[in-house]
Amino acid sequence: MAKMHIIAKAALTVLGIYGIVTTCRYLSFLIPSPEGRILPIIGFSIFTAAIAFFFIFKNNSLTHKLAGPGEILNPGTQTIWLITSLRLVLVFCGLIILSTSITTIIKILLTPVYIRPMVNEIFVLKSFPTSLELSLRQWSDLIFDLGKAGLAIYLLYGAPHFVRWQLKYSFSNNQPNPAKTERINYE
Amino acid sequence: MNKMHSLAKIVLTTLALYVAYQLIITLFGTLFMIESIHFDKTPIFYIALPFVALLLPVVIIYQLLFKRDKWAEKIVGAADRPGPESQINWLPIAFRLTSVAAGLYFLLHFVSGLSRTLSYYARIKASTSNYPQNIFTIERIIGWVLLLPIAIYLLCGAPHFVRWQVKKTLKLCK
Repeated sequence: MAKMHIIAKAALTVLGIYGIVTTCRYLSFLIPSPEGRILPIIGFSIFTAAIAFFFIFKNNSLTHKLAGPGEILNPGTQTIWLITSLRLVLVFCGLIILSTSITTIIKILLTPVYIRPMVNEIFVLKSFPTSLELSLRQWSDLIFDLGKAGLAIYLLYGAPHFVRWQLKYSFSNNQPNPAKTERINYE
Repeated sequence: MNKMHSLAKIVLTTLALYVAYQLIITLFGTLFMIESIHFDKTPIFYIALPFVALLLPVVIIYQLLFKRDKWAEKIVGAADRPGPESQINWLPIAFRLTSVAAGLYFLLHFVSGLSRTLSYYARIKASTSNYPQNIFTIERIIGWVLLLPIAIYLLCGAPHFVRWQVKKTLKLCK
């Protein structure tokens, strides 16, 4: 891989992650009341799957098309560039997602304050806590917000498992088709 | 000027354009929200505040577009610094650039939130009809207020965060 390939790969990966978060937002709006919304739900689901597939898992061909030919780096340098580029863009993505997740994180931190009356309701009044009687839309929003906050924290931590997996995956799958590379060079 | 300066300038200009775009959207939103205000009943303070809040991104856009050389130099360091020879010399600078970019994004969120909250508050004050009051929950207010110190910290280059990230990245590279 050349430097530009690695940068393009990192950018595509982070675009894929952000794209999935955005489409999941729409899905969390649509799924609670699916009547008459089957087509948009299917459309968004396919779109999300396509983004994940082409931008995160199978981005090698797209990377080669975007970046064009370049000087191939030695494996050691490739590793360093891939790790640093990926971490950089993932941290940036984490910060962007965090900006909309602070309220959720504060809610999580304030959980002990809310849990006490809930426990009282369950054990003293022997009833289901009223504060947990949420509509499907509210549950859907809650799950989405919790997932997003978790993702933001993981990305800010540098997503070490994801980076390691991408590194392994990229080196085992980054064997561009020689015929294709030749054609790109020729063009 | 080396490559990193050029990169910093490109990023800052792109950010300025993005902030300008968001500012226009927020301005339209604010105008739309205060459209229904009864101007005779609402103190001018409540009407003017959302617009005063929007002055901050205008200053940021001006700084990013017309003083970007100064900003790029602050982010990257001395202008006569040689280009990144080692493969990881650029890492702290890149992380700092990322922090500044994210700081601007946080600031934008804070300002648009401020503008939205103030215009909403003005509507509630002015209107006799019932508006949902539950938008001012404690979590929302804390979350929104916290955006400002985080934005300032990131705009200052987030030195501790950058150092920690660089350390972790180098550890992963080994």
